[in-house]
Amino acid sequence: MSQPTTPRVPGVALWDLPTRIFHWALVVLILVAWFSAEENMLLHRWSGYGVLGLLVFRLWWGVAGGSTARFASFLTGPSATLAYLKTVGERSPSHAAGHNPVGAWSVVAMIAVMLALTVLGLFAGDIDGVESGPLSYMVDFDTSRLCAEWHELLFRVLQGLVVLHLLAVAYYWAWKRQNLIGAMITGKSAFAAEPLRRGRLWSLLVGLILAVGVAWAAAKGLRL
Amino acid sequence: MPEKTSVAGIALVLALTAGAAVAATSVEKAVALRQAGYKEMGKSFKAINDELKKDAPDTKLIAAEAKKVHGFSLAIPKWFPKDSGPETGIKMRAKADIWAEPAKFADATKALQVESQKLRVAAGKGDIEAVKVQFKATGGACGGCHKPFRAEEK
Ligand code: HEC
Ligand code: HEM
Ligand code: HEM
Repeated sequence: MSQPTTPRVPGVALWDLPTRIFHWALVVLILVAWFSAEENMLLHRWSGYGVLGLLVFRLWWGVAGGSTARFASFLTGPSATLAYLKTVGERSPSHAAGHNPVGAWSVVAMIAVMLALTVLGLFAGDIDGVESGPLSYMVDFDTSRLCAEWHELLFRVLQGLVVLHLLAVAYYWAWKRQNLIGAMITGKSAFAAEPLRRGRLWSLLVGLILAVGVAWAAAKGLRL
Repeated sequence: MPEKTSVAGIALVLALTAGAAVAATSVEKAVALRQAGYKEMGKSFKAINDELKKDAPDTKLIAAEAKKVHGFSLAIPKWFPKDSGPETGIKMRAKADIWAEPAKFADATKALQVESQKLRVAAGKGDIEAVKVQFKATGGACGGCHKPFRAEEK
């Protein structure tokens, strides 16, 4: 919990460990869900429950986590977003205490799409009625097919958002000479405007319990 | 509830069959009949799957739906009259290969008829474990025809 009083090179703490684990676990599980779809539906569903748990945790951490993970700390109004957009072309690193105002919207978009995608997956059913989400028993055949179609559609949307995400990260690297990836791995950044204030341990535990609880209940089809 | 909707479904299919028989030239009706039939089969199949996921599956309901699935499987050969393929321009997923490779298509149909018959027998006995195993095998027969003969979504 203690912060060094003088920031050491290569930088100050920016992302806490839970946020970093969230990110890289998400990357792995999304890839697993992607390549297992239609090939190995058991693996596909399990990776999906993992994604669901991660998202639940992230939502909680976004209101009760470390300072840079909180939505309130990085979501800004249109004027701040526009102001940032005017400077984004400058060939110098941006100093923000976390996500910059534009990146913040892409973070929210990705989280929202992934959440809708996984929830739809829970209700989706394939045409043979064999492979289906654990909650598809609650809806009729047509609805479960509709969920499957939207599930796939949102997956395409997510692919688009991830491409934008990677392009943005590459842009900061190549044009602005700012390595965002290193910060997402080590947690430290030389560019942070102010250091991270860490979340509480109890909050982390509540988040973990919520995440595991929701993912488990969904996997069980809410029949506990 | 599922009982009622499936009765309505069967009535619809029968009505469409009758309609198609009267207006044998209407390709549209043949396609509509086929798609309605498959949809009902899909609903019955889902109903079984939903039931199997419960703690205490209703064996009567499963037996009734399994009987319907088998009944539909027997009707499949009638759903693909000549010239009712994609060349008609009607929106469908049926591939032209169905008519180009009739023997292969007949094998796929037969596979479902055999598996769904076994499903019907297992369901009739009320043997849930056997139904679970046979449900997978029957689902495999659906996929065994959809892969080669039904076009991918979009
Ligand atoms: C012998 C081949 C064959 C078998 C076996 C088969 N199908 Fe199909 N199915 C098709 C074809 C071809 C279509 C596309 C029909 C069209 O669009 O004209 C189709 C379409 C469907 C549709 C979509 C209907 C719609 O348009 O809304 C459902 C649902 C369906 N099948 C369910 C099943 C289920 C469940 C099984 C197994 C119990 C099964 N099918 C077995 C060939 C088959
Ligand atoms: C709780 C989580 C999830 C469940 C229960 C679930 C369930 C399903 C089901 C039942 C299907 C089959 C639908 C069909 O055959 O038409 C499916 C397909 C698919 N899912 Fe998921 N899914 C989940 C999460 C995800 C995630 C996180 C991704 C994204 C990476 C994803 C991507 C896909 C893709 C690409 C398909 C293929 C769509 C198709 O061709 O029909 N799913 N999923
Ligand atoms: C499946 C693919 C991916 C998804 C869904 C995804 C999603 C996300 C999300 C939701 C965040 C916000 C993190 C948070 O606040 O909790 C984020 C941040 C970040 N991601 Fe990804 N990501 C993906 C792949 C990648 C890859 C492959 C890289 C690296 C090459 C990467 C680099 C980053 C970086 C550097 C940040 C921090 C951005 C900043 O400084 O504002 N991501 N990502």
